[in-house]
This record gives sequence, C-alpha cells and structure tokens, in this order.
Amino acid sequence: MSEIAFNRRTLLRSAGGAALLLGSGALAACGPGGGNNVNSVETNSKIVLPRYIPYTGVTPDFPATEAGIDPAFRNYPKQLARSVTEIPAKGGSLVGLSNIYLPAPPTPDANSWWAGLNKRLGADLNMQMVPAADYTQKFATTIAGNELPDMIQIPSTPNLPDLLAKRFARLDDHLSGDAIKDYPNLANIQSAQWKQTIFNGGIYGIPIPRSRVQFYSFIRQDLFEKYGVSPEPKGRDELLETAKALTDPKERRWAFGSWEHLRLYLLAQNEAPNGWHEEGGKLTNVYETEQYKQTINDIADFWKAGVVHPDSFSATLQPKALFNSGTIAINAVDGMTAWSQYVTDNASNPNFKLGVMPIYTRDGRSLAPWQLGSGMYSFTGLKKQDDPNKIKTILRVLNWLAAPFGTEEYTYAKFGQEGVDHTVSADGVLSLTKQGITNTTLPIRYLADAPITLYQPGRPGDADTQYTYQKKIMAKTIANPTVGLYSNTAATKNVGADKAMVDGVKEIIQGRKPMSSLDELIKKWRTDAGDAMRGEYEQQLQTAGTK
Amino acid sequence: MEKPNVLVQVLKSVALGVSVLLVIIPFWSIIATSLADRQTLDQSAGGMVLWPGDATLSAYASILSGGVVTRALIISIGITVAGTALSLAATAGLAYWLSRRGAFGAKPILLLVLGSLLFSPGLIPSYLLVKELNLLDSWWSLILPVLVNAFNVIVMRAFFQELPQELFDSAYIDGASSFTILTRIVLPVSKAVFAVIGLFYAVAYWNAFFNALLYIQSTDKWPMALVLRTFVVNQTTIAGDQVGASAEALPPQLQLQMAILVVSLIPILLVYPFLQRHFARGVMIGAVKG
Amino acid sequence: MAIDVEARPAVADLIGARGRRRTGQRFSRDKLLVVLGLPGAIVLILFHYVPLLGNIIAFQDFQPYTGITESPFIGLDNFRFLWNGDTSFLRALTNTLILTLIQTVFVFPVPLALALLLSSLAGERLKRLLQSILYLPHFLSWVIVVAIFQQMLGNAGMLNTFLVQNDLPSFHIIGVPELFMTLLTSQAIWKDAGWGTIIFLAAISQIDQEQYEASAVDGANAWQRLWYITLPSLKGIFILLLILRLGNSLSVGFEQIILQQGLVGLETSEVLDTWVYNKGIIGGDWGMSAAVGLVKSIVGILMVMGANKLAHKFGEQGVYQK
Repeated sequence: MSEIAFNRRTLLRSAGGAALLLGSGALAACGPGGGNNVNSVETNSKIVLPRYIPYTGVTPDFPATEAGIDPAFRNYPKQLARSVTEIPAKGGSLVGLSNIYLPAPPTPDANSWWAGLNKRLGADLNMQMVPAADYTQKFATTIAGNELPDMIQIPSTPNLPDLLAKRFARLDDHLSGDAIKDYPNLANIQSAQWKQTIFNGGIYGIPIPRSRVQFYSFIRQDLFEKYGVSPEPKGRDELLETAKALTDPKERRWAFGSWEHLRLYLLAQNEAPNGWHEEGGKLTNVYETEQYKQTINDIADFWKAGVVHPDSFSATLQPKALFNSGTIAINAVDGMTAWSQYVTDNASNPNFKLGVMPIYTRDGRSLAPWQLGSGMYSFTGLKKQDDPNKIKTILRVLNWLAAPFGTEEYTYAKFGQEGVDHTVSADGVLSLTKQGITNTTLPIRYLADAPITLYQPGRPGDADTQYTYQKKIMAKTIANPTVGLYSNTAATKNVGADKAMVDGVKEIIQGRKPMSSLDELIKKWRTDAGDAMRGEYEQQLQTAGTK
Repeated sequence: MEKPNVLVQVLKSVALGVSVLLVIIPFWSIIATSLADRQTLDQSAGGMVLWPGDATLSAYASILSGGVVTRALIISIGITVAGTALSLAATAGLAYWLSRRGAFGAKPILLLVLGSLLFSPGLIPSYLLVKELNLLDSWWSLILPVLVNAFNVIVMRAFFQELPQELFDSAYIDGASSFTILTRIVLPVSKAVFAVIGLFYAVAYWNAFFNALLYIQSTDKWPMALVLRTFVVNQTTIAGDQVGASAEALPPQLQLQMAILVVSLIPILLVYPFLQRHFARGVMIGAVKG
Repeated sequence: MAIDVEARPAVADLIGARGRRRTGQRFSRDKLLVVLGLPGAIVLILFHYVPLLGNIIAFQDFQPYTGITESPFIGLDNFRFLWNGDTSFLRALTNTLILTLIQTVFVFPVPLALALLLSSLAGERLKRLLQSILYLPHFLSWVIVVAIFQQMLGNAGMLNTFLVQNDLPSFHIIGVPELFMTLLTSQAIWKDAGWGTIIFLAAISQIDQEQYEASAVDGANAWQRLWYITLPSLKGIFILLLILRLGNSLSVGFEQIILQQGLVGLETSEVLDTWVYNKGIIGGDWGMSAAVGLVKSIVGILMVMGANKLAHKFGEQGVYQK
C-alpha cells in the first residue's frame, strides 16, 4: 500500500493530472468495499459541502468574518427572534450520548427546564451523560454493544472512517449543497467546520462549532500595572524581561504557569508551523523544524531564569486557579471562552483586572501569525435508521438545538424560562437563577450548538475589547493543513508516541537531558508514528490538490 | 505483670504520634479548604489552606443544590446496604465451603477463585455480558458483577481455617449439621472477619463509579460516586468549554473537590465505629468452647 | 458409621477420604456445604470467567465496532513486544520489578507493624480513635493524594514557601527522578498503611485470650508474648497476603504513577501498566492491551505457585494445599 502511494506521488509530480486518475483508481481498488467506502480525499472532495447561509435574524454589534473572527454583542438582544417555526418532532423519544463537564441536572420530572425543552422539541430527549474524562471508554463499549443511541458525540477514535461507514448514517442527501436549507440553523455553520465531518465521500455528522481563534493570551493587567511593565512585550527578549519583573518567589508569584501553555505561546512567537507545514503536497511536522528547537531552547531559558512556576510540570497544577489568585501573572494560552469564566470568578475581587496580550515575533518587529484552531469541538453522528423520516426528525431537533445567539430558542436552551431559570435586569442582562444553574446543565451543546459569540453579561465593553483583540491578532494567520484529513496513526499510535516525545522534551527543559537529545526524540517519534502520519496525510492532500 | 519499659513506651508514643499527625494535618487542611472563603483561598495561591478564614458553606451548597446529590445518596446507601449483605452471604457461604478440607468440589473451585484474582476480564466483554443478561440500566448491574470478590473469599477462608478444631469436633459430637455449625458456631466467633470483609465490600460499593458509568444510562439512577465525579471532572479537562452563560462563579475547583471528599467520607465515618467494636476487641473463643 | 468428615478433617485425612470415598458419597455428605457456597461460585464464574473468554482478542486485530466474531486473527502479533527487543518495554519491566521489590519489602510489612503497635496500647478508646484516624487516607483517590503531596512538599508547596520566605535553601523532593521511588513508596505507605492494619487487627482479635492469660501466669513478658503467641498466630494470614501480593507483582500503582509521570520522565517512571497504557490503551489498541494482561496473569500464576510451594516447604498452608 505504501509503495503504491509512493509511486502515485512521484507520478503526480512528473505527469500531473492524468497520472492522478490512474493513481486514485489504484487506491480505490485497495479499499474493501470499492469506491464509496474509501476514505480518500478524492472521494471526499466530490461531496458538495452544505451551503453556508449566515443567519440574519439577529445582528451583532461586530460581525463574524470568513477569516474566523467571532461575532460580538455588547448587550443581549431585547427582541428575541424565532429561528424555528415548527415543533421539530411529533412525539416519541430520542436518545443522545455525550460528555458532560458540569454536574448532571435533575431529570424532567423534577426539572421544569428539561420538561419545557422536551415540549419545544416535540419529543422526549433522553441523554446519556458521561464525565468527559471517561468518555472514550463509554463510547467504545457502546459501539461494541451495538445498540446505539440516536445521536452520538464522536470522539477521536481508531479507524473512524470504517466505524462511521458501518454504524452511522450518511447525511449528504439531507445536508449537501442547498439541501441544508431545510435546516437554516445548521446552515449557519461555516464550511471550515463541515469539511471536518466528511469521511468515505459522505457527510457523517453535525459539527459542534467553536472559535477558530481558540486561544487568548490572558494577563493580569493589575499586576502588569503594579510592576510598571508593558502588557505588549515585543519579542522574546522583552518577554523575558517582563516575566522577570513580574516574578517574585517570596511573594509566591511567577510570570508563567503551565509550561505547555508557554510552549504554545513561544511556538507562535517563533513562527512555527501550525502542527504541520505543507509545501507542494509535502508535509513537515512542527517537531522537525528549526522553530521548534528554538522554542524548546527558549522555554529552557525561561525555566532557568525562574519565571515559570516551579511546579509547572506537575499534572495537578491548576493554571486557572493560580491565575485567579495572582500566583501567575500570565496564562500564556488558554481557551478564549475562559474570558467569561475569569470575569465571573473574580466578580468580587476589586483588584482583579483582566487583560489579553498579543504575540509578537521573536525579533519583536511585527505581530506573529496567529495559529488558527480547527473551529470544531467534535461532531455528532446519527445512528443508521431504517426510516429516512426519522433522520429528518433528528436533524430538525438538532437544527433547533443549533439556534444562533440571541434567538428565542438559544435563550431557552442556555437560560431557560424567564422568572424561573433566569432573571432579566433593568439593563437587559440575563442572569441564571440557582434553579437555572442546576437545571440547564444538560449537555445538549455537545449534540448541536450555535457558533461562538462574544458576549459578556453586564460588561458591554468586553465585546469591544475582545473583538479588537481578535482583529489585531488575526491580521495574519496560519492554518493547520491537515485539519479535515484523517490519519489513523494520529488517532492510535501517535497518542503514545507524542506523549513519549513530550515527556522527553520536559526533561530537556529542566536540564536533565542535553539539548542534543532532542534529535533522538524526534527520530523516535518519526519511526513510532510521525512518518506514518505524514504518509497518510500526504496521500490525501495530493488528491485534494486537484479539487 | 512486668513493669512497662519506659523507653519502649516513649518510642511507641512517638511513632504513633507522628503517624497520626501525618494524617491529621492534611485532613485538617482538607476540611479547612472546603470551608474557606474565596479571599483566603486566593491568598493561598489556589492551594490548600490551614485556616478557613471567614468559613463558608458555599462549596457544600453548590454540591447539594438541585436534589441530584440527595437522590444519589439514597441510591448509594441502598446499593451499599443490599450489596454488602448479599456479598457477605455469598462470600461466607463460598469461603466456608472452601475452608472445609476435603469437601466435595472445594479444590477446583478454590483454584477458580484464585485464578479470578490473577486474570482480569476486559472492559468490552464484561459490558457485553451485562448487556446480554439484560442488566443494563438496572441496579443489579452494580451489584452482581462485583458480588463476590476473590480476595475477600480467600481471606475469609483463611480465617475460618484458623478456627480451633475443637469447635467443630464438639459441635459434631452434638450432632449439628453444616448449616448449624456455620450459623451457631462459626459466625459468632468470626465477627471480626465479618466486620472486616463487610467493611471492604461496603467501601467498594460506596466508592464504585466506573460500572455505573458503563452500565447505568439514566442519570436519575446514578449513585453518589458517579454524581460526585462530574463535579471533580468539572473544569479539569479542558479550558472551560462553557461560554458566557452562568451568572455566578462556581467555587474554586480544589475547594469543590475537598467538599466532595468530606461529603463522601461522612457516611463511612458514621458506619465505622459500629464495625470497629467487632474487631478491636478479642473474641472469647474460650467462652464459645464452653 | 456415618462420619461427618466435613466437620472432622483430621479423621477424614486418616481414612483417606479422597482415595476411598466415591464422588457420589462425598457429594451427598457435603451437599449442604455446596448449596451454601454455590451461589457465590456461580456468580464469580459467570461475571469473571465468561467475560474472560473475551481475552481471545489478544490474538486479534480487534475493533469495538467489528466485534470478537468478525475481527481478524493475527496470531501472536500482539505479543511481539516479548521478543522484538523493544527497549521501552524492557525498561518498563525493570522499573516494575524494582518497584515491586521495594514495595514488598518496605510497604507491605508496615500495616503489620502498625497493627502490633496499635494492639499493644492499653486504652480501648484511644486504640479505636487512633485507628479511625490512621485509616482515613485510604479513602482519598490518588488524584487527591498526589495533589496533597504537591501542596505540602512541591517546589512551590507549603514547606518550600516557608523556606523561601525565610531565606532558607529550598528543598526539592517532588519532580526529582532520584527520589521518585522514595516518593511513590511514602505515598503508598501514607495512603494505605492504616487501612492495611484492619485485617491484622481482626486476626489479632481472634487469638484465643486464654493463651495470653496462661502465658502471663507463666511469667512471660510482653516481648515473649509477642514472639511466641501473637506473631505465630498472624503468620498464616501474613503469608497468605504476601503470596497474593506476589501474584500481582507486575501491577504497581498505575494511577499513582501515571499522574506523576510527567514530572520525572519515562526513564524512571515507566512501569508495565503505564507502558501498556501509553502504547496501547490510549491509542485504542485493544488486542495488545489484552495480550499484556494475559502475560501479566501468567507471570502472576507462576509467582503464586512458586510462593505457595515455598510456603509449603516451610510448613505453612499458603493459599491452597497441595
């Protein structure tokens, strides 16, 4: 197989398009079920993506952009638009399986919000909820048991294309191209996300969209002010100086917390590729670049300078808590949604001032290109059903759950009933009540969800701050060329190989191993998984190039 | 009685004193952290504290709100009580059989019991079995697969074997049956081992969450340990995949964890003294021998 | 004469029950025993041995969605780590054996010592109170134990904060590869030593009090009573537990280690359980995980058989009789 792939690549370079047809023919012949069952980009690129039709019922103060900047609202809309006109289902019950990060809510008999949701959906929605840390095991047993729930959150898993083909419904007839018009809230999800749900030449799920910005570099603005350092350190040297100024072990304060977050920050600063670098269909992994070595060198310098929390390598380190307490002044890279969490966590702390920091290139001359995220949390697969109408019903339900920010449906899904689950203040801020907090934790957002929106209750200025920051850092971006491709090695062997690599790097940073051993680690990673991944991705990329 | 050696007494007291302190200080810190107010916690750099400051019950309130935990508590107590009773009965019966030397079938069964300690079945086959037996989403799925623990059988059997032979001889002469010997003679002098094995089972049932996670599909049937796990996992795994909705800050994660710990420990702490009575004091075997 | 041999094993041995009595006779003699024991045996076989058949996936390229019946057999391919000279496997094996040795020598006897110490106390109330305190850490999950050690002894923990704030040199304990085994051992002792006393205390409580009374009359001192009465009475259960522990030689605190692996690197911290986790389980390699499990079981059986034989040589009962 690998030999064929190799031939195909050489042919491709020399003879172009004509050879490609031959090559992909040979490839398809390798697959077990012929054409349609093969997960090649050749077949995948034939599929017409669902058309992107942005929702216009609610107008944000700042619009979303194609490049991936999230729309922002200063205030919650006063007039709630309706995005769904009909009740999606006509009775019966539906079962969903997903992970959960919050305590499970009471069941509908003791939960007016859930009962109300069922009424709005027109069906009894039962959820099997699994603490996120245990999800893959539950998923594996559920798949093995072969009695699938109707809607399932699909995690990264071995042989995904094959698994999807065997157990899950193809949705292209319902969603491809203009067919998506039947589900306008799903049409509000961008192509970047839909692309990642395509396997075996078909659409196999509903993406759960997330921000492509994905990270912010959070800082404690109050500490920066206190020590008189600029919140925009330009380049590596200024960053280190800033970090030194902020660090004081006697006061139990360090500039950085998790070394992993620092690594991501410095990778961007060193303009490393976003995961992989692609040139003419050839891939180079970030590990194999000079920028990566430079980054490891830099972290080692920062570690030696003592500006990183001394327990940084501990698995029990809690960067968020350390940031809240001011033990670390910079949370170099944290999910952008943490903005809201930091604001609410510190509502009663008058000293706390949240800021965000851009990333400059190493020499400090310009802003570093921003490493784009995949923009997707996971996707929801639908169990194979005998009756296509059942699929339609489920899709209508998911369409309801994906209702965009500021609509009537979104408001109910996130905030419940006014006066019961939430209250509305004079200036239009929605606050969940105690009952609302408990009742609304049902993890429907992992079955279908609206695109991310920037909105901070009661702090209209935050919309401006976040949007400005996003616009600034996203001026230049780099994407990961392998997003939307599937590598079985990445889902299997690489998990362990990457861990071994990372563990070795940690030792280098702490000075227990020489910098020169990095090459050894990379070589090991390449033989264990890296080269195989590269092969799998390149094979798909080269066929994709001709789309 | 000889005079107690002073040096030995001092060494003993020091050794025990140090061990106890090594346990008490962290536990005190656990309780203090679970009660501490936000400011105190923040000052401790997100870590644990030795003094709660303006003590607050907010972490406990956050766990107990909504009635999910209360319901799960009742379920857990039910499963623990029923499970422990059934397990003890099954284990005692099996251990008694295996403890009688030369009893019919005892040898192969003993080897099977021992083997089950050494071979562990996989996740998926166990799941498929529970599914085939139609036990999914039933409370039996939390009891039957763990009803008999081979380690406990072997320990109990060893205790039965240590019982003095005269006990059985005298009973035999009185013409007692196996069952009578078990209930009238073995049980009364084996209170200690019953207390210990009972405690082992109870603790195992109380803390088990993984089988519930696999086998129980409806959240309203979740036992306490699984409910509490959702609190612990909360915020830990990913960079807060929860957007701008909640109006109220959750207690810091470490504090929640500590409060959960205290909540889940209390029932065991309540049971323990009752069991302890049975194994802290010597049994008057002589009295039984008569 | 209908001798109830079940209740009189000594007599049974004399007349050679196994040899002369026919199976049917033995059954009718012991049927009440069997009835009492069978429910437990059936449940154990059903829920343990039936799913054990699933270990056949050790010889398959198993995927949950194809199932056991459809996954292809691949011979011994999942066991290739045994002979392909994978250095990471050998390293994990070595670390496991070292750790098992350390834990058997330093962790395993602690509960016995503690139990003896506790039982030598005079006050019944004090004894119970101390015991209740000492067994508490058992109820903490490893995540919490690791976090507590981190909070107390970490580089930025309570101890080091105190030292740094008083201009004293800080004291690195956690995250130092040379101290890793020591750290694991102390954590294991802290967590489970108190809990482990329970079995021994129960065994001590079963010792016939008359023996103590008689020996006191004969003028034996505390040491002599310990040496000639208490310890011999505990020997059986101690050896039993030791043999069972040896059967699990190749399992050494998976959760405890995986949580702290990142601190010290794989060289020092990789053990068999973490190795198979990193190599197989997180990558969804079910077949190989099952293969490692089987190898561990076989080693465990050999250990138990060997240890049991050794016990017999020394005139002990062990786990099972010859």
